[in-house]
Amino acid sequence: MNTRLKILIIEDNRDIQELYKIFFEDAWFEVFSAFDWLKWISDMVEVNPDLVLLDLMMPQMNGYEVLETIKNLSSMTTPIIVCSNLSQKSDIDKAYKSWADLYLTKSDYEWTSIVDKVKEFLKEKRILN
Amino acid sequence: MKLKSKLIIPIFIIVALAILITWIIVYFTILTYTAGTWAISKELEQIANKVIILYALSAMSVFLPVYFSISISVRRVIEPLTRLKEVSEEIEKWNLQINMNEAWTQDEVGKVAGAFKKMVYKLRKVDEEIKEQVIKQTEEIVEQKEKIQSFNIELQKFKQAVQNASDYITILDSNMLTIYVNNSFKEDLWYSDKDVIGKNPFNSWRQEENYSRFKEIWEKLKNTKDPLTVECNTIKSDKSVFVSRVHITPILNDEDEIIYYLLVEHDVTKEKEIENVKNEFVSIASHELRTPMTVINWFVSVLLQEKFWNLTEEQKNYLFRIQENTTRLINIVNDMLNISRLESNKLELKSEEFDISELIIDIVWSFQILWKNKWLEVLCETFPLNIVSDKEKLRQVFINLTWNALKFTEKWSIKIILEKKEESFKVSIIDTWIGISKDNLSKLFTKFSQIDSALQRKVDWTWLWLAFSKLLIEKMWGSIWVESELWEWSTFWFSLPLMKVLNN
Repeated sequence: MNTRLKILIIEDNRDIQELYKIFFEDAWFEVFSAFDWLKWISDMVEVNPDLVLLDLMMPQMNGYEVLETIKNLSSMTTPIIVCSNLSQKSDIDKAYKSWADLYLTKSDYEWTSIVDKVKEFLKEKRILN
Repeated sequence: MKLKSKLIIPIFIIVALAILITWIIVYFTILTYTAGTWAISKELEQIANKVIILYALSAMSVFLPVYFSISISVRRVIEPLTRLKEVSEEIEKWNLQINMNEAWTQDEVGKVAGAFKKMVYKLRKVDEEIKEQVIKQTEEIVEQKEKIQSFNIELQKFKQAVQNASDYITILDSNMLTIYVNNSFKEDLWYSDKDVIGKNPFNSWRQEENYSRFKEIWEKLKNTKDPLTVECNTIKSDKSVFVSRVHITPILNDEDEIIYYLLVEHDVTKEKEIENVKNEFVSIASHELRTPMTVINWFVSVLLQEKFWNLTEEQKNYLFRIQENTTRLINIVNDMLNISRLESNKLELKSEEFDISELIIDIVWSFQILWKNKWLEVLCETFPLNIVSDKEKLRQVFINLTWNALKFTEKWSIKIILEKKEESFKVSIIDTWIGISKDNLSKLFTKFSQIDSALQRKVDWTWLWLAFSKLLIEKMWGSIWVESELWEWSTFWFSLPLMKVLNN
């Protein structure tokens, strides 16, 4: 793997943000962090990530709104993985309806399996070889 | 005999007068004959005396037969007639107890008397019957009256109850027009009879935005005639709105036609608020509790990565323990959330067809390290059996029960038995652990029970698993129970319908 894939993580919890950074850097990703949606908007344009990892419970903007906004920006084909602690089926359905590409529940997985799931997804989408 | 004595005196007087008159005539005749001289010869006097004696005798001879014939006729005709008159007078007075048993003659009067007797007898009978009937009917009337009285008391009670019930009670006629509302309805919603009687509640004090929904409800009621409960917004006379839960019961007549609708409703605004708060709490707990635990868990995982740094065995051991406990904590939170969701009917169930024996064997094998380490024997008596249920939920229940059995059994064996019974199946997990006392058995499936023995410290009992399993199984239309012999064994079993399509 020569070029690192760019992953943009939108997560308001700094601890989790840091953990993601450790995991994904370990898994040979280039990690960009955004704590709020304003930062995210600018990052989306500047970084042009290969993948977005999104938390649903955000202080300024609801994750669903973020999802819809990303998908409404027509040029954006960036896949979005929702990684949240909300595990109710209604939340999951709502995320998929808002065009999430994959839904992961944080507490259900060890961090290694989260990285695995993301990799698996990217392989399916043929973004990762 | 009274009649006879009455007759004798006049007859006697008449006879005496006849003799006296005859005597006077005779003397006057003699007087005329002697031309007023009163010189009556002894010869004449003798003749006159003879005439008188003869006359008296003839009079006697006339009188006696007359007397006797009269007395006989009195006895034979007049007396019975008088008696009959008496009897008829008595009958007229409705004295039917008169005695008519004296001897009656065989003639016409006797026959009349006989007929009279029969009539009296019949009258007496009829009278008795009538009296009996009157008594019976009176008793019945009294009984009915008592019934009506007690019914009235009951009715009064019911009326009072309905009038003063804290629930709002409305009665609608078959056209859905209001015919009655109780006091609390009027008091709490500030309506008067005038405002509501004769009106359709769904056009007036129910919110109109729901009108089409009510139409559907009403169609359903008309078709099924079964009671149903709906929640709807109700408008008070000051235009404020509250949420009420309405239980509607159609009341049918003998021809199975709806004659009334009975609506019993109460304000559930508070309940709804509590429910919302609870759901919100579930959501917050799910996020706020699990996030820090996930953070702890993941950081520990990072520390445990040997490629990042070198750790001593002791350090690793402690980190493992932190991880183990946070994982347990996460699981407990998950179970609590699941129970809360199940209770608020938020846990979704799926239906799919699968082989239950495969599931059992799969799980038993996934636990093999555990039972092999303990030198336990696991016996599975299963056979291929296709069922329809929620596979994932059933897996969870079976894992919980098997985990319990494996974790606590120190010696010998565990037995898992699958049985098929007509339209259902049963899975039993028999362990040879120390068993559970009777007191603890009943507590086992309640949400926050713990087994209060010294063993509790030894075993790591996740009682929530059992409570959750019970809720799940019941939600899937099955049952779960435990049987145990203290110090010997325990059998946890659950049974479920073979083919049950689950929907929420």
